[in-house]
Amino acid sequence: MADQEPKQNDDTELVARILAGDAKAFRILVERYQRKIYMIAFGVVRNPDAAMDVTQDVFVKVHRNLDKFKGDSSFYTWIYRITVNLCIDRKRRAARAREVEFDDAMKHGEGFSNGPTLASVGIESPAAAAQRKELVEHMDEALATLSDEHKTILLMREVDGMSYEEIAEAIDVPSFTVMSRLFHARKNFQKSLTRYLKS
Amino acid sequence: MNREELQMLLMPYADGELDAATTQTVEASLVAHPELQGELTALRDLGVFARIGFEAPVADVNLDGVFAGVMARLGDEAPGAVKQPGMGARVGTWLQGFFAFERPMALAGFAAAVVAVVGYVALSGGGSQQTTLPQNVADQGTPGNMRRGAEPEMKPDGQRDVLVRYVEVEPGGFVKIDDAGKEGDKPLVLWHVIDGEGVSIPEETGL
Repeated sequence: MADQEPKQNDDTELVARILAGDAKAFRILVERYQRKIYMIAFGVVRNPDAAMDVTQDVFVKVHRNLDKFKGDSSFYTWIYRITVNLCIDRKRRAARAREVEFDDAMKHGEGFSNGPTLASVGIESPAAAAQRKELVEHMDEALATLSDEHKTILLMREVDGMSYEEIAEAIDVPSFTVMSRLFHARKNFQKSLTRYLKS
Repeated sequence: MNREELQMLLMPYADGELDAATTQTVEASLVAHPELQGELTALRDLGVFARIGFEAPVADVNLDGVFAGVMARLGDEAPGAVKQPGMGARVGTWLQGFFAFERPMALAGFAAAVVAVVGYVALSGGGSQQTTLPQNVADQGTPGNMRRGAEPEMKPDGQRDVLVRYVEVEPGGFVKIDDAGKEGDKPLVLWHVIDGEGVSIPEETGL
């Protein structure tokens, strides 16, 4: 997310303007992040209405707590954390997927070989893949099988391109846990995907 | 770098998390292990599938109403404004202020009331004759259920010491007597308890 540095400065300035009472600045902030937030929310709750509700809740919470944002982390990390927490609160999942250590799994040869690839499903490019309606549905179904934690971490990494360190900061876990969780999120996604693509 | 080490570094390599030196080592090792190239491809395509899965369903969603919805929920709040405290918090703040700033006045009022009561009692008893306690109440009792000292004790009371004693009366009660211990002073009966309940002072005490 190196290209986000200028945006981060913009965010800091925007936050300062909002705190100074600039109402337009808040609108800019909402419009800047609403699609990202909605996507995160939808990615976790998998329901359009619930995702919209969470999106609005996120901005309400941001508005009410903006004076508490100290700028220690990036604004995006901060709002990401709020979003994920609200999603998880909403779903109130009591049980969490049990994680095993990344290196243990790797030592047993559990890599990503034999998984579906674009070529294996007869698609020549990601753009072409996105246009295949049934493929999109399969992706959606495969993601729906993942735990909230796995969906969240996959979203952070694959969609937002966040580094392990940024993810660790956003979800408040050590970097090594990020790597372990990401590994298992990918493995589970791959398993689901293989099942749906075969069917 | 052996195959196992290479496989462990494949994911952080694909994610661009390795430093330049390790990245070069991984790339050199991949030449020696072409079978892991397939795994690397699968890993990268998995990212493509995930992006499609996350992005495609929300690509055409109309989000024009988000800002209006947020503002409707917020009402008239100003961004970053200090929130209005609830009723409980306001009462707490008021009490805090009261005890912080009004405490000296409250204490002075309480002290004045105590002085008035003590003065009244002293004046009303000052001209009376000394009362002799009947024999049955002159002994100092042991009010175990009152959790008071069994023995008479001298307690400072303003400018004089007061002898506090407990006299047992029937049926099973105690009278607490504060006695200045000076001739001419009438003992002061502060309270009278029988079986834990306040009752009128029994006649035999002579008080």
